[in-house]
Amino acid sequence: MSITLRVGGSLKRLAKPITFIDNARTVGEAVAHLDLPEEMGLVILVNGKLAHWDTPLSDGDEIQLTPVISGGRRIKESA
Amino acid sequence: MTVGGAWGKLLHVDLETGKHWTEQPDDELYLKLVGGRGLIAYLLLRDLPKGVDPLAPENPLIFAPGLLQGSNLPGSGRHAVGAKSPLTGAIASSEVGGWWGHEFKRAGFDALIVHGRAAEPVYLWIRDGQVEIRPAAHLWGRDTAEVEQRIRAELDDARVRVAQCGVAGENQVLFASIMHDINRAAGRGGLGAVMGGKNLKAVAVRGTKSPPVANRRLVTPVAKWLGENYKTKAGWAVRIGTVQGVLNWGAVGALPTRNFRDPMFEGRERISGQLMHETILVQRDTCQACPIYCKQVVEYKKEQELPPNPYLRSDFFHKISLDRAYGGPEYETLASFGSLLRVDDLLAVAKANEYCARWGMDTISLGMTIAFVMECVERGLLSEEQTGGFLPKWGDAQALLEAVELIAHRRGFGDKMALGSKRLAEWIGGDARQYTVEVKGQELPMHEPRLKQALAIGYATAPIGADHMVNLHDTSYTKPGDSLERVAEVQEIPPLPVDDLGPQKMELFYHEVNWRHAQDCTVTCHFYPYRYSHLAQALSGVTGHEYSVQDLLAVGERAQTLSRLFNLREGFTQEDDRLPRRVMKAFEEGPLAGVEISEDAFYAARNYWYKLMGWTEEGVPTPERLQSLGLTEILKEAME
Repeated sequence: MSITLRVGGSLKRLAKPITFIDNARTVGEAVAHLDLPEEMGLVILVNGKLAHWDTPLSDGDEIQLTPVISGGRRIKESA
Repeated sequence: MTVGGAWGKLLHVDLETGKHWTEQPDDELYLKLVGGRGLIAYLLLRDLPKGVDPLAPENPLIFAPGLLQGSNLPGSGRHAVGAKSPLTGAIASSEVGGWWGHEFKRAGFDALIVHGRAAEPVYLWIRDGQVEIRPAAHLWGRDTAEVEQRIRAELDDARVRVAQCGVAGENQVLFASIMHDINRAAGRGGLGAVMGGKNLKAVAVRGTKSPPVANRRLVTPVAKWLGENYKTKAGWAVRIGTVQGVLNWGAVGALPTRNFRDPMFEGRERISGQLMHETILVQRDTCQACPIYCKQVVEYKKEQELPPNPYLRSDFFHKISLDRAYGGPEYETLASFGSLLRVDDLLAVAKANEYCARWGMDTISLGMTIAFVMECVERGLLSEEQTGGFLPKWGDAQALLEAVELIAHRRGFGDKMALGSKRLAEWIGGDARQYTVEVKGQELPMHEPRLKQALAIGYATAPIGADHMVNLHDTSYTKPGDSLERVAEVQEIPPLPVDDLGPQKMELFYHEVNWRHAQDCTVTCHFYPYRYSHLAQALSGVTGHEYSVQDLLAVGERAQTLSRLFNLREGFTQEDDRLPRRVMKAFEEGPLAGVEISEDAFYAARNYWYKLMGWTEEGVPTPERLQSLGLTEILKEAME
């Protein structure tokens, strides 16, 4: 089963803009590897529609994550 | 007085008689109410008779820090201002940052209550326990930066802090603000009109005394934790601040546009925080004892050439200037003067923001009133005769600036617009009232309730009318993280969908709204990543009395309950705890297409929250809950 994950805003520092996930039953499982900043608020869309952490996924679904309080950690080195 | 952080003195000033006196409340009052909104609600119940016109001299104007002010705890550089609101007729309680609250507390008083009306414009000068009423006719009509400068010069002290109503407050614009330190606003509810109505131009303060702190050993670790964690846990505030909101909400179809009719604005990149940071932002600013520096400061000189930027366009290049003394727009303002009105001219939005700091007006109610006018023009509900030819269209930046000037000075149609959207709609008549987007007469802030459905409940039930601060932003609880961990200090709640209005969401809402109110009694910054236990510990340390997490949340619950009692007394009922239809029905486009706020779910959620608060089905606090909050005795004395 293949899920597409798109990340926006400051999340692009954590993951490529688009990745493919093989095995995830819910949104939460699909993004578990991302180590999302604790202070981050998140809007979750699946196939362009409002979804949530426990939304069950089907083959071919596309998840879009938009951070709405952007995290604080600088993921890349900076001055 | 056994309560650390308190002087044991409330300062009362009567502008009519010129007299002042101190009141010395019991320790119990300090410990139960702490300060800020809790104290304001109590004093209004006690000292303001029912049914008084908010612009009458009898309406007391209350400046209320709390027990933490003067302690140098990071996040305590704030205070509250309150009265009965001329905009809503409900309680007004507005929190504001900067340095004034800290300085006032160091002057030796716990709060200031101003009674009556002066015969001529005056200002108060409060310095280390001494109080003077000074003439202010020479300050009347001047911009806020000039007033502060003149007061400092005539008092010969550059460290005086000034709270003032601007020209808008002098003219009793119903959403006039009280400005502090020039550009920090006690924004909502029209407190500036109350101040101007009293002929009180300013309150100047200077203090050199530190209020006693009972046990520093409990306070220092909290400050240390903040110092070690703010760069990550409040990193958003450090790096860009609230202004990230324009593109964030735009990305998910939740950026208020065209008076909340559209889910997003295609011109948003031209008014974004990111664009502001790349062009006119020159500095970030902060409040007393705060390392975060979240605030925006902009500057633009007429002859200036800005770096080329594909998103920067303006009709005002080389025509206007922006003065850094007035700070800069935050998210609410970029949205309320930008997307809400379909204006995509960043310089114009920044200039309108500057006018609001110069003249003292709430940018949210102002933007929403202009949006309402634009909608009425679009629908043909206003004629040239009615408006003197002022018929602004969506996207007209020049009209935005003109509206702000007309309203602050109550010129032409500005005189009517200065009443706010609800009264303006009543004046227009017909079906104009359908197009206002307010609760209890206070216009909605720039957060889309269909995306944040507990926030919708908060808009409907907040004591001051629609408010986004003593409220829950559902998007922060959609994944495991800091916000849910804070709540876990009292209840484990899993991540919840933004459009969930079930019991768990309302339990989450109950705890977090109590927390926000507790923050507004201690008057600490809502952007801080403190947990309940951090603030409880700091309060225990400052006061020398133990506050558990539950005790702290009870402080917040008391403030809500007292506010509720005041509003009920003034004639508000559960019928007023509703939301306009416009923001409940689903958008047809964008990521929120099809997402409505169901009426059944809305009222079920609201009524469940009444139950959690210990209120009846009609939203009235029960005697049992008043007793368990320890309010029965306090209220009995207040009602005598």
